[in-house]
Amino acid sequence: MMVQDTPAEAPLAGAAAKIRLEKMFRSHHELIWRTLRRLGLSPDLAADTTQQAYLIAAERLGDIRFGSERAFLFSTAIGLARTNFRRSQRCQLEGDMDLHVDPGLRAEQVTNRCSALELMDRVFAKTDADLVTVFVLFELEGLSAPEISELVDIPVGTVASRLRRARATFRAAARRMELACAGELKP
Amino acid sequence: MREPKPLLREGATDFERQLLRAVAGERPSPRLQARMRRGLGLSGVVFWAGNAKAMFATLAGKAALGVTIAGLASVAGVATYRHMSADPSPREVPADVLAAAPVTAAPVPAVAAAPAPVLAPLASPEPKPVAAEASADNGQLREEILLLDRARSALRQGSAQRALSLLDDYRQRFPEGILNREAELLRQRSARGASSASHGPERRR
Repeated sequence: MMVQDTPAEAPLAGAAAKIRLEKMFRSHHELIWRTLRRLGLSPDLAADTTQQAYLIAAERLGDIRFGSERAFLFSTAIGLARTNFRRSQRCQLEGDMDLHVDPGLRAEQVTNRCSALELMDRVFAKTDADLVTVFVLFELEGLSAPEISELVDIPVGTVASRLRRARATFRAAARRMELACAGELKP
Repeated sequence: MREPKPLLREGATDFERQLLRAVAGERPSPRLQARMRRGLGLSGVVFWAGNAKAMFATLAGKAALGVTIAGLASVAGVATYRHMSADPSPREVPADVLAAAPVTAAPVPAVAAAPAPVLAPLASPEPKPVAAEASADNGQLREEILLLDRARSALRQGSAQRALSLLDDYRQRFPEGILNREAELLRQRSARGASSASHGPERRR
Protein backbone atom coordinates (compact mmCIF):
# COMPACT_ATOMS: atom_id res chain seq x y z
CA MET A 1 0.00 0.00 0.00
CA MET A 2 1.32 3.39 -0.91
CA VAL A 3 1.23 6.13 1.66
CA GLN A 4 -0.57 9.24 0.53
CA ASP A 5 1.55 12.34 0.24
CA THR A 6 -1.15 14.92 0.80
CA PRO A 7 -1.01 15.25 4.59
CA ALA A 8 2.70 15.87 4.47
CA GLU A 9 2.34 18.86 2.19
CA ALA A 10 2.53 21.52 4.90
CA PRO A 11 5.85 20.45 6.41
CA LEU A 12 7.19 19.74 2.96
CA ALA A 13 6.21 23.24 1.81
CA GLY A 14 8.03 24.74 4.80
CA ALA A 15 11.03 22.58 4.09
CA ALA A 16 10.96 23.53 0.43
CA ALA A 17 10.96 27.22 1.34
CA LYS A 18 13.90 26.72 3.62
CA ILE A 19 15.75 24.80 0.99
CA ARG A 20 15.11 27.55 -1.51
CA LEU A 21 16.32 30.18 0.93
CA GLU A 22 19.39 28.10 1.67
CA LYS A 23 20.12 27.79 -2.00
CA MET A 24 19.65 31.52 -2.47
CA PHE A 25 21.98 32.20 0.40
CA ARG A 26 24.69 29.94 -0.89
CA SER A 27 24.43 31.24 -4.43
CA HIS A 28 24.23 34.97 -3.93
CA HIS A 29 25.21 36.18 -0.49
CA GLU A 30 28.84 36.72 -1.36
CA LEU A 31 28.04 38.81 -4.41
CA ILE A 32 25.64 40.94 -2.42
CA TRP A 33 27.95 41.31 0.53
CA ARG A 34 30.86 42.22 -1.76
CA THR A 35 28.83 44.78 -3.65
CA LEU A 36 27.73 46.38 -0.39
CA ARG A 37 31.33 46.46 0.75
CA ARG A 38 32.32 48.33 -2.38
CA LEU A 39 29.52 50.76 -1.75
CA GLY A 40 31.33 51.68 1.44
CA LEU A 41 29.73 49.52 4.11
CA SER A 42 31.93 47.92 6.72
CA PRO A 43 32.12 44.11 6.75
CA ASP A 44 29.67 43.93 9.64
CA LEU A 45 27.28 46.44 8.20
CA ALA A 46 27.40 44.70 4.84
CA ALA A 47 26.58 41.42 6.57
CA ASP A 48 23.68 43.00 8.45
CA THR A 49 22.31 44.52 5.28
CA THR A 50 22.72 41.27 3.37
CA GLN A 51 20.87 39.49 6.14
CA GLN A 52 18.08 42.06 6.05
CA ALA A 53 17.70 41.56 2.33
CA TYR A 54 17.40 37.81 2.84
CA LEU A 55 14.88 38.27 5.63
CA ILE A 56 12.74 40.34 3.31
CA ALA A 57 13.18 37.70 0.63
CA ALA A 58 12.16 35.01 3.10
CA GLU A 59 8.97 36.88 3.92
CA ARG A 60 8.14 37.34 0.27
CA LEU A 61 9.44 34.06 -1.01
CA GLY A 62 6.12 33.22 -2.58
CA ASP A 63 6.21 36.41 -4.63
CA ILE A 64 9.69 35.87 -6.01
CA ARG A 65 9.70 34.18 -9.37
CA PHE A 66 12.02 31.24 -9.75
CA GLY A 67 15.12 32.48 -11.49
CA SER A 68 14.64 36.03 -10.23
CA GLU A 69 16.04 35.45 -6.77
CA ARG A 70 19.33 37.19 -7.43
CA ALA A 71 17.68 40.27 -8.91
CA PHE A 72 15.29 40.50 -5.97
CA LEU A 73 18.00 40.12 -3.37
CA PHE A 74 20.32 42.48 -5.12
CA SER A 75 17.84 45.29 -5.61
CA THR A 76 16.57 44.87 -2.05
CA ALA A 77 20.08 45.02 -0.64
CA ILE A 78 21.01 48.05 -2.69
CA GLY A 79 17.80 49.75 -1.64
CA LEU A 80 18.50 49.01 2.00
CA ALA A 81 22.03 50.27 1.68
CA ARG A 82 20.82 53.51 0.16
CA THR A 83 18.04 54.02 2.62
CA ASN A 84 19.71 53.09 5.83
CA PHE A 85 23.38 53.55 5.35
CA ARG A 86 23.98 56.68 3.42
CA ARG A 87 27.40 57.54 2.34
CA SER A 88 27.89 59.59 5.47
CA GLN A 89 28.19 56.28 7.25
CA ARG A 90 31.01 55.04 5.12
CA CYS A 91 33.34 53.23 7.38
CA GLN A 92 37.07 53.37 7.62
CA LEU A 93 37.37 55.95 4.94
CA GLU A 94 39.15 59.19 5.26
CA GLY A 95 37.93 62.46 3.92
CA ASP A 96 40.33 62.67 1.05
CA MET A 97 40.21 59.76 -1.31
CA ASP A 98 43.61 60.29 -2.77
CA LEU A 99 46.39 58.34 -1.28
CA HIS A 100 47.91 60.17 1.62
CA VAL A 101 51.58 59.74 1.12
CA ASP A 102 53.30 60.83 4.24
CA PRO A 103 56.65 62.29 3.23
CA GLY A 104 58.14 60.86 6.39
CA LEU A 105 57.34 57.30 5.45
CA ARG A 106 59.94 54.94 4.13
CA ALA A 107 59.39 53.04 0.91
CA GLU A 108 58.60 49.73 2.59
CA GLN A 109 56.10 51.38 4.85
CA VAL A 110 54.42 52.97 1.91
CA THR A 111 54.30 49.64 0.14
CA ASN A 112 52.79 48.03 3.20
CA ARG A 113 50.28 50.77 3.49
CA CYS A 114 49.30 50.27 -0.10
CA SER A 115 46.84 47.68 1.00
CA ALA A 116 44.86 47.01 -2.11
CA LEU A 117 41.58 46.72 -0.32
CA GLU A 118 42.01 50.05 1.33
CA LEU A 119 43.03 51.63 -1.92
CA MET A 120 40.01 50.25 -3.67
CA ASP A 121 37.79 51.58 -0.94
CA ARG A 122 39.32 54.94 -1.55
CA VAL A 123 38.81 54.68 -5.26
CA PHE A 124 35.16 53.94 -4.77
CA ALA A 125 34.58 56.35 -1.91
CA LYS A 126 34.09 59.34 -4.16
CA THR A 127 32.60 57.49 -7.08
CA ASP A 128 28.89 57.57 -7.72
CA ALA A 129 27.23 54.51 -6.22
CA ASP A 130 25.49 53.71 -9.50
CA LEU A 131 28.82 53.61 -11.28
CA VAL A 132 30.38 51.52 -8.53
CA THR A 133 27.56 49.01 -8.74
CA VAL A 134 27.97 48.50 -12.47
CA PHE A 135 31.74 48.41 -12.17
CA VAL A 136 31.65 45.80 -9.42
CA LEU A 137 29.19 43.59 -11.24
CA PHE A 138 31.07 43.72 -14.52
CA GLU A 139 34.70 43.81 -13.47
CA LEU A 140 34.62 41.80 -10.29
CA GLU A 141 31.61 39.54 -10.48
CA GLY A 142 31.93 38.78 -14.17
CA LEU A 143 28.36 39.58 -15.12
CA SER A 144 27.60 40.56 -18.69
CA ALA A 145 26.01 43.87 -19.63
CA PRO A 146 22.59 42.29 -20.29
CA GLU A 147 22.75 40.52 -16.95
CA ILE A 148 23.60 43.77 -15.19
CA SER A 149 20.85 45.50 -17.10
CA GLU A 150 18.36 43.01 -15.76
CA LEU A 151 19.77 43.03 -12.25
CA VAL A 152 19.95 46.79 -11.83
CA ASP A 153 16.92 47.42 -14.01
CA ILE A 154 18.53 49.86 -16.42
CA PRO A 155 18.97 49.71 -20.21
CA VAL A 156 22.03 47.96 -21.59
CA GLY A 157 23.20 51.25 -23.07
CA THR A 158 23.16 52.82 -19.63
CA VAL A 159 25.17 49.90 -18.30
CA ALA A 160 27.76 50.52 -21.00
CA SER A 161 28.00 54.24 -20.35
CA ARG A 162 28.20 53.78 -16.58
CA LEU A 163 30.87 51.18 -17.06
CA ARG A 164 32.89 53.53 -19.24
CA ARG A 165 32.69 56.30 -16.67
CA ALA A 166 33.43 53.96 -13.79
CA ARG A 167 36.42 52.55 -15.60
CA ALA A 168 37.76 55.99 -16.35
CA THR A 169 37.40 56.97 -12.70
CA PHE A 170 39.01 53.77 -11.51
CA ARG A 171 41.91 53.94 -13.91
CA ALA A 172 42.64 57.58 -13.17
CA ALA A 173 42.60 56.94 -9.44
CA ALA A 174 44.71 53.82 -9.82
CA ARG A 175 47.22 55.73 -11.89
CA ARG A 176 47.48 58.46 -9.26
CA MET A 177 47.99 55.90 -6.55
CA GLU A 178 50.53 53.99 -8.57
CA LEU A 179 52.51 57.13 -9.18
CA ALA A 180 52.30 58.06 -5.53
CA CYS A 181 53.58 54.66 -4.45
CA ALA A 182 56.26 54.55 -7.13
CA GLY A 183 57.40 58.04 -6.22
CA GLU A 184 57.90 57.01 -2.65
CA LEU A 185 59.77 53.92 -3.69
CA LYS A 186 62.41 56.03 -5.34
CA PRO A 187 65.08 57.40 -3.06
CA MET B 1 28.53 46.60 -30.56
CA ARG B 2 31.20 44.46 -29.00
CA GLU B 3 30.99 44.15 -25.26
CA PRO B 4 34.23 45.06 -23.52
CA LYS B 5 36.09 42.39 -21.63
CA PRO B 6 36.66 42.77 -17.90
CA LEU B 7 39.86 44.59 -17.12
CA LEU B 8 41.16 41.60 -15.23
CA ARG B 9 41.04 39.66 -18.45
CA GLU B 10 42.25 42.31 -20.80
CA GLY B 11 43.95 45.64 -20.61
CA ALA B 12 44.64 46.18 -16.93
CA THR B 13 48.05 47.24 -15.69
CA ASP B 14 49.71 45.16 -13.02
CA PHE B 15 48.77 47.69 -10.42
CA GLU B 16 45.13 47.79 -11.51
CA ARG B 17 45.03 44.03 -11.56
CA GLN B 18 46.28 43.88 -8.00
CA LEU B 19 43.64 46.31 -6.90
CA LEU B 20 40.89 44.43 -8.68
CA ARG B 21 41.98 41.07 -7.41
CA ALA B 22 42.01 42.41 -3.89
CA VAL B 23 38.33 43.15 -3.89
CA ALA B 24 37.30 40.29 -6.14
CA GLY B 25 38.64 37.84 -3.59
CA GLU B 26 37.04 39.43 -0.57
CA ARG B 27 34.49 37.31 1.18
CA PRO B 28 32.54 37.55 4.41
CA SER B 29 34.47 35.87 7.18
CA PRO B 30 33.18 32.59 8.60
CA ARG B 31 32.05 34.53 11.66
CA LEU B 32 29.94 36.85 9.53
CA GLN B 33 28.61 33.99 7.43
CA ALA B 34 27.61 32.11 10.56
CA ARG B 35 25.97 35.24 11.93
CA MET B 36 23.96 35.77 8.76
CA ARG B 37 22.93 32.14 8.74
CA ARG B 38 21.82 32.30 12.34
CA GLY B 39 19.84 35.43 11.64
CA LEU B 40 18.05 33.68 8.82
CA GLY B 41 17.50 30.48 10.75
CA LEU B 42 19.68 28.62 8.30
CA SER B 43 22.24 27.34 10.77
CA GLY B 44 22.52 23.65 10.15
CA VAL B 45 20.27 23.63 7.15
CA VAL B 46 23.07 22.97 4.73
CA PHE B 47 22.96 19.23 5.14
CA TRP B 48 19.21 19.21 5.59
CA ALA B 49 18.78 20.81 2.24
CA GLY B 50 20.84 18.21 0.50
CA ASN B 51 19.08 15.34 2.16
CA ALA B 52 15.62 16.71 1.77
CA LYS B 53 16.35 16.87 -1.92
CA ALA B 54 17.34 13.25 -1.79
CA MET B 55 14.21 12.39 0.11
CA PHE B 56 12.04 13.98 -2.52
CA ALA B 57 13.93 12.15 -5.19
CA THR B 58 13.38 8.90 -3.37
CA LEU B 59 9.68 9.57 -3.07
CA ALA B 60 9.62 10.08 -6.78
CA GLY B 61 11.05 6.67 -7.27
CA LYS B 62 14.71 7.54 -7.57
CA ALA B 63 15.88 6.09 -4.31
CA ALA B 64 19.33 5.01 -5.26
CA LEU B 65 20.24 8.18 -7.05
CA GLY B 66 18.71 10.28 -4.32
CA VAL B 67 20.67 8.65 -1.57
CA THR B 68 23.88 9.05 -3.48
CA ILE B 69 23.23 12.73 -4.03
CA ALA B 70 22.15 13.13 -0.44
CA GLY B 71 25.28 11.42 0.78
CA LEU B 72 27.54 13.61 -1.25
CA ALA B 73 25.62 16.77 -0.48
CA SER B 74 25.43 15.90 3.18
CA VAL B 75 29.10 15.13 3.49
CA ALA B 76 29.94 18.44 1.92
CA GLY B 77 27.24 20.18 3.89
CA VAL B 78 28.22 18.77 7.24
CA ALA B 79 31.85 19.51 6.62
CA THR B 80 30.98 23.09 5.70
CA TYR B 81 28.67 23.52 8.65
CA ARG B 82 31.09 22.04 11.11
CA HIS B 83 33.84 24.14 9.72
CA MET B 84 31.78 27.29 10.00
CA SER B 85 30.63 26.50 13.50
CA ALA B 86 34.04 25.47 14.69
CA ASP B 87 35.71 28.76 13.97
CA PRO B 88 33.63 31.63 15.23
CA SER B 89 36.54 34.01 15.35
CA PRO B 90 36.79 36.69 12.75
CA ARG B 91 39.22 35.91 10.01
CA GLU B 92 39.42 39.29 8.42
CA VAL B 93 43.08 40.02 8.52
CA PRO B 94 44.35 43.35 7.30
CA ALA B 95 45.46 42.93 3.76
CA ASP B 96 48.92 44.18 4.44
CA VAL B 97 49.71 41.43 6.90
CA LEU B 98 48.28 38.50 5.03
CA ALA B 99 50.64 35.76 4.07
CA ALA B 100 51.51 35.61 0.45
CA ALA B 101 49.27 33.40 -1.59
CA PRO B 102 50.54 34.17 -5.05
CA VAL B 103 47.82 35.19 -7.38
CA THR B 104 48.09 33.72 -10.82
CA ALA B 105 48.24 36.51 -13.27
CA ALA B 106 46.16 36.32 -16.37
CA PRO B 107 48.16 36.90 -19.51
CA VAL B 108 47.96 40.60 -20.08
CA PRO B 109 50.11 42.59 -22.44
CA ALA B 110 52.80 44.43 -20.55
CA VAL B 111 51.95 48.09 -20.63
CA ALA B 112 54.20 49.75 -18.13
CA ALA B 113 57.93 49.45 -18.48
CA ALA B 114 58.62 50.10 -14.84
CA PRO B 115 57.51 47.44 -12.36
CA ALA B 116 54.37 48.36 -10.50
CA PRO B 117 54.59 48.76 -6.77
CA VAL B 118 53.96 45.47 -5.10
CA LEU B 119 50.87 45.42 -2.98
CA ALA B 120 50.49 43.26 0.01
CA PRO B 121 48.90 39.86 -0.63
CA LEU B 122 45.17 40.02 -0.45
CA ALA B 123 42.74 37.23 -0.04
CA SER B 124 43.40 34.49 2.43
CA PRO B 125 42.27 31.06 1.39
CA GLU B 126 39.55 29.55 3.49
CA PRO B 127 40.88 26.76 5.69
CA LYS B 128 39.73 23.33 4.69
CA PRO B 129 37.73 21.24 7.16
CA VAL B 130 39.79 18.79 9.13
CA ALA B 131 39.88 15.52 7.22
CA ALA B 132 39.59 13.29 10.24
CA GLU B 133 36.52 15.08 11.48
CA ALA B 134 34.90 14.91 8.09
CA SER B 135 35.74 11.24 7.86
CA ALA B 136 34.06 10.49 11.18
CA ASP B 137 31.03 12.43 10.06
CA ASN B 138 30.97 10.54 6.82
CA GLY B 139 30.92 7.20 8.59
CA GLN B 140 28.00 8.11 10.80
CA LEU B 141 26.21 9.83 8.00
CA ARG B 142 26.54 6.80 5.78
CA GLU B 143 24.98 4.61 8.47
CA GLU B 144 22.19 7.07 9.05
CA ILE B 145 21.45 7.28 5.36
CA LEU B 146 21.38 3.50 5.02
CA LEU B 147 19.03 3.11 7.93
CA LEU B 148 16.67 5.81 6.74
CA ASP B 149 16.76 4.42 3.26
CA ARG B 150 15.70 1.03 4.58
CA ALA B 151 12.86 2.67 6.47
CA ARG B 152 11.81 4.53 3.34
CA SER B 153 11.89 1.32 1.31
CA ALA B 154 9.77 -0.42 3.91
CA LEU B 155 7.28 2.41 3.84
CA ARG B 156 7.19 2.39 0.08
CA GLN B 157 6.43 -1.30 0.11
CA GLY B 158 3.55 -0.73 2.49
CA SER B 159 5.26 -1.96 5.66
CA ALA B 160 4.69 1.09 7.77
CA GLN B 161 5.19 -0.89 10.97
CA ARG B 162 8.52 -2.13 9.73
CA ALA B 163 9.46 1.45 8.84
CA LEU B 164 8.53 2.59 12.34
CA SER B 165 10.59 -0.18 13.84
CA LEU B 166 13.59 0.86 11.76
CA LEU B 167 13.03 4.46 12.78
CA ASP B 168 12.97 3.40 16.43
CA ASP B 169 16.25 1.73 15.78
CA TYR B 170 17.54 4.94 14.21
CA ARG B 171 16.41 6.97 17.20
CA GLN B 172 18.19 4.62 19.59
CA ARG B 173 21.39 4.56 17.65
CA PHE B 174 21.49 8.22 16.72
CA PRO B 175 19.67 10.22 19.38
CA GLU B 176 21.33 13.33 18.04
CA GLY B 177 21.62 12.16 14.48
CA ILE B 178 22.54 14.40 11.63
CA LEU B 179 19.41 13.41 9.75
CA ASN B 180 17.05 13.71 12.69
CA ARG B 181 14.72 15.98 10.82
CA GLU B 182 14.40 13.61 7.93
CA ALA B 183 13.84 10.78 10.36
CA GLU B 184 11.05 12.68 12.08
CA LEU B 185 9.39 13.49 8.81
CA LEU B 186 9.60 9.85 7.80
CA ARG B 187 8.26 8.83 11.17
CA GLN B 188 5.20 11.02 10.70
CA ARG B 189 4.57 9.52 7.31
CA SER B 190 5.07 6.02 8.63
CA ALA B 191 2.71 6.66 11.52
CA ARG B 192 0.08 7.88 9.11
CA GLY B 193 0.72 4.84 6.96
CA ALA B 194 0.36 2.52 9.91
CA SER B 195 -2.80 4.25 10.99
CA SER B 196 -4.43 4.09 7.58
CA ALA B 197 -3.39 0.47 7.25
CA SER B 198 -5.20 -0.44 10.44
CA HIS B 199 -8.30 1.66 9.74
CA GLY B 200 -8.38 1.44 6.02
CA PRO B 201 -10.28 -1.86 5.60
CA GLU B 202 -12.94 -0.71 8.09
CA ARG B 203 -13.46 2.52 6.19
CA ARG B 204 -13.79 0.71 2.95
CA ARG B 205 -16.59 -1.39 4.29
